[in-house]
Amino acid sequence: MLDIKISRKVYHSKSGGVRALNNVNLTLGQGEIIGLFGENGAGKSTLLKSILGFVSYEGEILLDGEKINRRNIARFSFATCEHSFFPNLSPDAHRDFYRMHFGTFREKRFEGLMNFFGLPMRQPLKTFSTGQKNQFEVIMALCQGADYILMDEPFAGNDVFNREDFYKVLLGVLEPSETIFLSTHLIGEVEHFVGRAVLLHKGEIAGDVSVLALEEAGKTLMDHMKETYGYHADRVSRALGDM
Amino acid sequence: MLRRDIIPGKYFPPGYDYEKEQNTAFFLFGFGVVLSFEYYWRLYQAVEDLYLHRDGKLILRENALAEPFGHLLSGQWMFFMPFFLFLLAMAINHYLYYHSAGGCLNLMRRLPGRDVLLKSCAQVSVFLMIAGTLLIEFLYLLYYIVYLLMMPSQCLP
Repeated sequence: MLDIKISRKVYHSKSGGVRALNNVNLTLGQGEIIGLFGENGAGKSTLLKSILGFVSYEGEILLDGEKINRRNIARFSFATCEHSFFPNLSPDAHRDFYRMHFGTFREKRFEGLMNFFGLPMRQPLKTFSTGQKNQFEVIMALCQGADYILMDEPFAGNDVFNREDFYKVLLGVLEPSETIFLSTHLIGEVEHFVGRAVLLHKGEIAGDVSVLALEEAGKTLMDHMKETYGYHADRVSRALGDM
Repeated sequence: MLRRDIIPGKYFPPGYDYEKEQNTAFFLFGFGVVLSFEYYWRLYQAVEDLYLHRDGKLILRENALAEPFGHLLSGQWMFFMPFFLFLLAMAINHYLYYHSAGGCLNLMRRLPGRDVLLKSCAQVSVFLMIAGTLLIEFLYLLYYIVYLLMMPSQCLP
């Protein structure tokens, strides 16, 4: 279980401090698929980076009661649209690198996903298209053998069919112990894929709901988000009328 | 079975074009060694100063004292400065590579191995610094042997 208690995360700049996260308290259980949603600048990436220890914060993040350190960091993998691979290396060489550093690397899953997405095994990643690079990024996150798979806008730049394939593959390959924490703007697409939705607004938790509960209440995730964020559908037409 | 191109990743950043860097380091060291041959010119002059030329013959000066070995070597370390500075720049460049190469710093920072990032940045530089220092010491030892052979024993300080 991952316990996140961040009281404050401030980015300091010359013009002052920007509060990126404020009183973020979350518990992620093993086996959950959780969507992390919010407007640009809501703090989604900062939250994921805080979990991995890439940025400092005030508070505490515990994995099964222990602070995240060298001993348990391998229980997290990370797929980001910024990418985290070596552009000059081939997928084949990445597999060796992961094998060398992560004892839990899922060899069979790697082979299967590479074949499914038809990615070349011996070509440097810098020669891949953006979509292929994103696919590879997600494949490595899924194959590292981590319990908690964190994803930050991993499909930015992939076409809709490709994304659809990924959601299906994800649901097919995941084991009950694997947790996905997925940050994305593609709410409509992942609505049927995630079991729980965490909404961030200006660095604070604005909502934490079960998608099943929403469905039972006859609401879509998008409806719930509009309510939470106070979005008025007629605001565009009103604004246009004023112009 | 690990691929050959991943093994240098233990010593250099993975995917880094290390051959050019390695060749430059060897060239700079070799350049330092060649410049250090200037020692022989100093040694030749120091030996010359011990003798008088009379009727085409070399006669050892009375109470002549050889210039100390340390004096002949003074400033020699400067010839190896480019090599050592390059090694320092190499370590910094390795770290910058992680920043420039597609965000792979994210991956390096979450590796469970102890100090993998630091090692891949600095390991080769530190190793070459130690190896270079030892080779320079060995070179100076050879120079000292030549010094002892060239200088008349009664003139040694």
